[in-house]
Amino acid sequence: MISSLKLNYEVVITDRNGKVIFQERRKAHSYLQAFNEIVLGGMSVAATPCKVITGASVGVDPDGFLCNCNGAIGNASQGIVLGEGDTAVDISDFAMETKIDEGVGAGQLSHLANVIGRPAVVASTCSFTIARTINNGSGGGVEVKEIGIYAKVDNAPLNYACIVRDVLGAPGTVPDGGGITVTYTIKATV
Amino acid sequence: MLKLYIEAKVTDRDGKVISRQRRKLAHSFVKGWIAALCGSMNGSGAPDPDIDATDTSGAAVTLGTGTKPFRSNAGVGVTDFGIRVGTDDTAVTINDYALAAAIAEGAGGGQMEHLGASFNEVGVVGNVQSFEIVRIINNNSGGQINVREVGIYIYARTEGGSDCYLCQARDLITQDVPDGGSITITYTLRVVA
Repeated sequence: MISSLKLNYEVVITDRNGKVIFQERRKAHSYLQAFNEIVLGGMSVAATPCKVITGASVGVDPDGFLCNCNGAIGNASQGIVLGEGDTAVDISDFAMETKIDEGVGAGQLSHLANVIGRPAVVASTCSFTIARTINNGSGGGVEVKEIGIYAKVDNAPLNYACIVRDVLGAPGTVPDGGGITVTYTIKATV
Repeated sequence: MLKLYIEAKVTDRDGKVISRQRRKLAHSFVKGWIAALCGSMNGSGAPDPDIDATDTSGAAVTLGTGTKPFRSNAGVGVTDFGIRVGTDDTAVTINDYALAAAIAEGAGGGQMEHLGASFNEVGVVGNVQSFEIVRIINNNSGGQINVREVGIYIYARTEGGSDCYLCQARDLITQDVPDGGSITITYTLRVVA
């Protein structure tokens, strides 16, 4: 077995009654350039240049709680995020193509807090999950085509980078009153 | 996917390359790397649930989020973190928390002298982004040292805010370093979209 840091995702969409109406579980393809730049910045303790979600290039701050993905309720700039773009993933992607904003207006979704599990070892694999449920109170359906993870790269000023982006195999529509739960599993196998 | 590659080069006392392991896929991110990444992504000084790990001394630790996650830019003579080499060839397991027989810093019997780490960002080529971490380790022990394992130790922070060190990766190699010679280890971390 070749060791690498692998990533899988699962997407589940439910209607207002909690019934599952869409499910996709796949191997994710898509750590992005920014992820490796954050790791480099952390390992080298240097302000490695990194393109953040605004498109600006900033130096990652090894003292700035680097790589924090634990966005709280209502924070659609940190942790798991969703979008409506379906352009194929490129290593240099620095943001979601068309990110869905926080809110209950048309086309918006309400982001609950991210939930990060503890690492667990099963046989020769060690893994942990990061998950988020995002609800739709917009009054209409919201189509989701892309998912990803935004991580903090700096505290002052606050800057976030897109470290993961995936385009779903098939778009999923979150109905009004429904919700979507995205779970990424990060794992290494010896 | 984040892949890890390893390369090794041994020179004699005159700087002549006498042995080389060309770059190949490494086998062995271990649990410490997953724990460190989880701790950093969590963004909390006291994550709930606990993030348990074993540090490179074998002590159980509970991790929090802190500054300088993943630090491995060890200076000259520093062996708490950075690339390390060892003499044991026991097969790698996911729970390895240190090299099985890490070589100590020094010029005494069985010891080696560690230079500072260096980093090279290779950047983006096609759909790949990569960087290298390199360390040269000299043998002035008076005898040959047979290196059989290599790894990376990284810095992390406990829930209580103390420093700790975790093993990010461990790999087996076979390189014999003569007295007066040196070994250069290069790890490459490569993201492929």
